Amino acid sequence: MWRPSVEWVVERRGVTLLRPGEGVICSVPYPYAAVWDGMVRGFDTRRMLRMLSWVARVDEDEGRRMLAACLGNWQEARLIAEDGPSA
Amino acid sequence: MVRGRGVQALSKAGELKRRLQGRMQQRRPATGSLFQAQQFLRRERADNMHENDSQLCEPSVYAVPVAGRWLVHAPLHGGGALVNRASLELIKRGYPSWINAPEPLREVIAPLRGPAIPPPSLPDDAPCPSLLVIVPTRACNMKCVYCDFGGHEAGRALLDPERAFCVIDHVLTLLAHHGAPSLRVHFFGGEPFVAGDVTDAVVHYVRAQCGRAGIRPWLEVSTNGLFDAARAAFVGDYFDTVVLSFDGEPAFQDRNRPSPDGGGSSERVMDTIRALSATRVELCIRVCVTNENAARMEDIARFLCSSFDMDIIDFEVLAENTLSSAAGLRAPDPFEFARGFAAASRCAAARGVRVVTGAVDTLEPRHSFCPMGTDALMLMPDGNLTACYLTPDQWECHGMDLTFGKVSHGGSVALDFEKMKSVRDLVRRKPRCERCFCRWSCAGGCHVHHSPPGSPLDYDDFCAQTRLLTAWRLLEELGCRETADELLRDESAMRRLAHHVDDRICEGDAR
Repeated sequence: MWRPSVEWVVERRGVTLLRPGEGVICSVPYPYAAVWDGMVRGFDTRRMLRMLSWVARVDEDEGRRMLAACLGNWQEARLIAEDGPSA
Repeated sequence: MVRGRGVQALSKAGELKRRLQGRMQQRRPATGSLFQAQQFLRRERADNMHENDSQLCEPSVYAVPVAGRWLVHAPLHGGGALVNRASLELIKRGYPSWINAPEPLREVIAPLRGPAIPPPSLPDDAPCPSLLVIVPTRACNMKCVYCDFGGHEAGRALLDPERAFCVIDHVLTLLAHHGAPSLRVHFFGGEPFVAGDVTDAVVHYVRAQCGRAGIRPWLEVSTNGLFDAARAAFVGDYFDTVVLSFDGEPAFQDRNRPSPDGGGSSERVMDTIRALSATRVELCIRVCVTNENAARMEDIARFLCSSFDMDIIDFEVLAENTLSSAAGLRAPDPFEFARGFAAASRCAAARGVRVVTGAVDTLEPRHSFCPMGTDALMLMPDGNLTACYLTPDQWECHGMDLTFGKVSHGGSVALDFEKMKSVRDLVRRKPRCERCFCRWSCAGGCHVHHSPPGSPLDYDDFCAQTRLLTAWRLLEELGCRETADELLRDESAMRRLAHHVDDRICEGDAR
């Protein structure tokens, strides 16, 4: 399971990430904003994959590639942390 | 973790509320009135106004008896006045020229002499959906005793999100063609959050595609509020308007809107209302009014206003059906509903909460009570596109066909424009409404349950309460509060207004 390491606000075009004292870190556009929303609500990886594939209108393989890249980037930027096994 | 809500949390009040308030400000009363009347003029839409008074023989000026006087209502002029009988006769005799009207009366009728806007209607050209309704499922997680949507027994079928995406793309293309600035999307059920992932995906897709198209999304949901805190947070973050059904006080809620196991739902739903109260959404609590709770409408308003932070209370009378009858519930007495609504309105207004009911809308003229006939598209779980959110059996029994399109599994959107035009025509034909001063505000009520083709010409209970409350509201807008109260205190005055046969004062139509 993933959890956010930063604060965020929902905006019209996606989600904006912030760090207290630093301000805005970056904006997360769609379709990845849907992944962020699922993650903060505790979706498991399979459910996040389905949501991303739906919103991006890609097949499951492409969705899996996009999700892995997205989560990897966020983890590398210390925007999220893994705190348990994914279902 | 602290959730941030800064960007969208600028104001508790929603865009719709601001828009409505803006319109209200445009209708501010003028001063210096006679005959205990105040008048107001609608100055907007001047470009569309008729230049010739003779065109007003289309019924556009009405008068109804109000506690010994007459309420003159000119919805297409945006004007009105409270006058005595002698003045009404002068208005009738002089209409439409009023050349010989005495000076004091000229002031009263000044707003009525001005040009009228054309009756509201749709042009006969290509569809421009004002609203997209998404029904992700007909299934529901409650078992309301009066619900004939199938409720807990309804099919569990879920909408394929891909079908919704295709309709969204289609509608955005139409809106771009018409230069429309926003897309309003309303989620309906069953309970839409029973199909939570489908609803989530459609919400995200609407936002994503609107962002690309430069069109502003406006997201609404009708819900029973029976969900957890995480879902409430999602709703608060992503929706603009929430219509939440809650029958006003826990005792009514638990009896009439139980969980499928028969247990009460009030505690969990009130948790949801509290959670949503703390968000930026425009929150509307929808209360079903029956013979049981009509006498407590003021108490209900007081309870809701003191318990929650909401924007609107919507009182709607029970639509009777076999299930509600089996539960011993009936629609309320129309006079009792009118009195209760007025008392609840005053009580809530003192706390900054607006009280509404669907048929009483005096903000601006409309030609349809609901989205039907406005080219709104309603996507059902099976991919059908309809003009009405009711289940097909409810309109088919009146010989109506309100399905005008289909989204295939493959994603193509097929719209039958000829059938859309026939639905436009359907809402125009309301023989019972032609002589009623609520013609351009109530506009006939529900086109399926209240005024389907072939419905009686006599006013029924729904008409009676609508006529009373519309008059009451117009009097309040005119600043004639004492007269408004007097009307609802006097049963014979209420009866006279409710059943006044013909309100038109147009030359040749005067009664």
